[in-house]
Amino acid sequence: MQKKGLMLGGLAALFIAGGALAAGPADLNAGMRSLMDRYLSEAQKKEPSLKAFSAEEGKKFFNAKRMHSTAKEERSCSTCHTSNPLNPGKTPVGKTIEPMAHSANKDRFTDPQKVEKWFKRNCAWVLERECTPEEKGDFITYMMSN
Amino acid sequence: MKVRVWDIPTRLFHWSLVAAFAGAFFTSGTEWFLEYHTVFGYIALGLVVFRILWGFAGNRYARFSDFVGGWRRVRDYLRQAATLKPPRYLGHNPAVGWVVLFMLIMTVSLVATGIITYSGEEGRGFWAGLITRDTGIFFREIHDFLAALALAVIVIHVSAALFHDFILKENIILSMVTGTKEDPATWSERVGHMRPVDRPSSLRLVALIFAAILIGLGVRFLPPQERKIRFTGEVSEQVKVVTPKGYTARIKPDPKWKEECSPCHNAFHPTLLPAASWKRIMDGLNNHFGEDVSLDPATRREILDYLVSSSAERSTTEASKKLLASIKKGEVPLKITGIPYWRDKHSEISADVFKRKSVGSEANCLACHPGAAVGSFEDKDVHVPD
Repeated sequence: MQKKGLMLGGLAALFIAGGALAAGPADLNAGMRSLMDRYLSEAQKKEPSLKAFSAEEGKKFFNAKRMHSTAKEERSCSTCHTSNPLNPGKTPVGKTIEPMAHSANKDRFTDPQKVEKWFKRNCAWVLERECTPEEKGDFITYMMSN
Repeated sequence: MKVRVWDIPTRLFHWSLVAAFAGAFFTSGTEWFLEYHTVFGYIALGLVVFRILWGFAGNRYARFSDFVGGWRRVRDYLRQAATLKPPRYLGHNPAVGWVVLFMLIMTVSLVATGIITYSGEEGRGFWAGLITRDTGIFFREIHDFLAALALAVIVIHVSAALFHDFILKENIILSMVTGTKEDPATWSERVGHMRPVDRPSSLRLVALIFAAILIGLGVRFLPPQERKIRFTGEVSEQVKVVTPKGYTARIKPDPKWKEECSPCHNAFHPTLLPAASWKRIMDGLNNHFGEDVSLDPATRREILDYLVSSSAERSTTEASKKLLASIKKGEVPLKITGIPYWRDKHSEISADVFKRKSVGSEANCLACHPGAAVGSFEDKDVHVPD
C-alpha cells in the first residue's frame, strides 16, 4: 500500500515537474507544446544558456519598430495588432483582425500550421526575414500570458 | 330603374389591374424600383389568369361569350358610334370586347417579356441564370415596345369611356364601380336582372380559389422583403456561373479561398475578374501588392481552380458582364477597382466617402454592397454608411 502511494506521488511529482519544465505555458495544447519544444531546442543550439522563453522579451519584440527597406515606413507587430494584444487590430486595407491574446481569442495558438504560416508571412512584412525560434517562442509566451 | 350588370369579381379585377398597371408604370424606367416593378407585373399576370377563368365561369356579362364577337359586329358598332348613335349594350359593346381580349393578351406578353428581361439582364427572377444577358436586352426592347402599345390602348380605352360618359351621357365608368347601369328603357335588349350562372360550376370555384391565393400572395410579397432578410444566405445561391459543359450552376464557395484570402482583405468574389487576371494574381503571390503571401502548391491550385471556374467570363451577373466589357483588349487588370467600369460606376462617390471609418478603402465592397461576399451588386441594395 505504502509503496503504491509513494509511486503515485512520485509520478505526480514527475508530472508537475514536467509541466513546469515544458517550453510553453500550460494552456497550450499538445501540438502547440511540441512546436514550442522544437523552438526551444533549436534556440538552445544557438544559445545553450537559454532555459525558457520570456513573455517580457516577447512584449519587447512585439512592439519593436523597424524601418522597412522598400516601403520606407516604420513597421512592427503592433502596427496592425495595436500595442495591446487584447484589442482587435486592423490590416493595411482596414479589415478587422481578431485580438492576438489567447485569453481574448481562444482560437489563437491552437494550430501549429497556422502559427507557422502567419509567422512566415508577417515576419517578412515587419522584419524582411524569418523570425528566429527564440523570437517565436517569446512571442507565443507573451500572447499566452496576458 | 337600376340593373345589376358587373359582378364583384369583375369590378375588383378591373380596378386591381388598373392599380397594378399604374404601379408598374410608375416604377418603370429606373433600376431603383425594379423589385416593385416586377411585383406589379406578377400581380397583373395573376389577375389576368383569374380574368380568363372568370371569362368562362363568371356571371353572364363577365363571360367572353357575351362580349366577344366577329369583326363585322365591331365594324358596325364603330360605324354607328361615329354618328354618335351606337346601339346600347348592357354588357361590353363589341368594340371594347376586342379591347378586353387585346389587353389580356398584351398583359401576358408584357409579363413574359418582363420576366425574360429580368432573368437575362439582372440574373434574378424565375429564369435567372438560364437566359443570357443579350437575350435579356433583346426582350427588353420588346417589353418597352409592348408597354408603349399598352399605353396607347389605355388612352384609347379611357377616351372611349369618356366618350360614353360625356357625349353619349351613359356613365359607364361609375357602372364599373357600382356594378349597375341605369335607364333600362333605352337598352336595345331589355334585362331587369343580372342572371347568375344557372348551375354551379366547378370552374367558378377554381377561379375564386385562384383569386384568393392571388390576394394572399399579394399580401405576402408586397412590399418586398427587407434587405436583411434577403442577405441571410438565401442570396448566396443567387449568383450563378456557366459550367464548361454549358449548364448553369450555383457557385459553391471554396473554403480555402475564404480561409486564405479573407484575413487581410475581403475575399473578392471570383466573378469580378477575368480568368487571366486570377491566373496572374495567383502566380504572383510572392509579391502580392508588396507582400509575400505564398501558399503551398496544393492550396494555391485549389484556390486558382475555384477562381477560374467562377471567373467573370463564366458569371451570369450584370456586374461581371459590364466589368469584362470595359476591359481593353490585351489588358489583364490585377485590381477590380482599376477596371474602367468600376471607376466609371464609382466616379460620383467622393474620396471622403471611401475614407470614412465605416468604409475604410475602395477595397471594402461590403461596406456599401451587402451582397458583395456572394458576388451580388444590385443597385437597389446599395447602402452607403455614414
